[in-house]
Amino acid sequence: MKNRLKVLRAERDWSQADLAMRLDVSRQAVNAIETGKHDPSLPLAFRISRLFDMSIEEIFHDEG
Amino acid sequence: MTKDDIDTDASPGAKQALIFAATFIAAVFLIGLVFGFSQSILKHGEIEAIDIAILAGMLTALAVVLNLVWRVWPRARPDSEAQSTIKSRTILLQMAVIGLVLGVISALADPDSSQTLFSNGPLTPVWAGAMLAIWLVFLPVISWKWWQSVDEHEATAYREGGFWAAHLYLFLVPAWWIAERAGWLPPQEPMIVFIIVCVFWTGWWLYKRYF
Repeated sequence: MKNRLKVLRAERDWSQADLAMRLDVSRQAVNAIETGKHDPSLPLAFRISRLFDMSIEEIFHDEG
Repeated sequence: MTKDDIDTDASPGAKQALIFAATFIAAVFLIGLVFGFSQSILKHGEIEAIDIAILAGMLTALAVVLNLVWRVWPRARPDSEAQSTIKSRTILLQMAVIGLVLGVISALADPDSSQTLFSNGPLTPVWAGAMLAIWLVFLPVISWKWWQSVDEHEATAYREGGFWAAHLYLFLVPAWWIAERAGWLPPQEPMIVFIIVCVFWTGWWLYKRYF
């Protein structure tokens, strides 16, 4: 699954560690989501959408 | 360079974690070595200059390794890490310390264990009770606390490692059993199988976590 996390984070000048702190996950988790190695669960996807004040669909895109 | 540029790498913490794990294992090994060597000297009753020199060498190596452990010891950085990450790492370190205590108790309970990697020698009820209390009460509780504190990425890595480790166990044990019956391998040693499965599981988990 593709996502715009890296772009959204860069727009706010946040590092991966900054975003990880805000989401209460490890920096490695943020990296894995950004690079598509880990698809977040629905609860985490909702936390991300709330943080960026966007819908889940605006952040995550189904590759299919 | 923006913040976006500096941290796209998944594994800057992996190097430190690997060094910490290696030095921690080396420290445990050296403590066992010092203990075993001291026991064998005391058993023989005669202390020679060469024994003291060897022991001094071991203690120096242990001091160097302990210094390294201290230098790479993961310290909490509340201003740059999520609370869950700090909590799960602290619990992991507590588990490592409990493992160390178990190892020391095991060595004290069976001094002859220094002759083999895993002794199957008899234990007194007091030592066995102490070890079982740690293994069946403290470790399950602290493991559960750790599991509650990890984030979903680490939980997935751990779960995946467990899945493949279970498959390794599934293939390893019958294969060893068959090879033993054919006379190709020595009798199956449960603790050796246990360690192989644990090392495989941990390796998979850390690889998926950091790379």
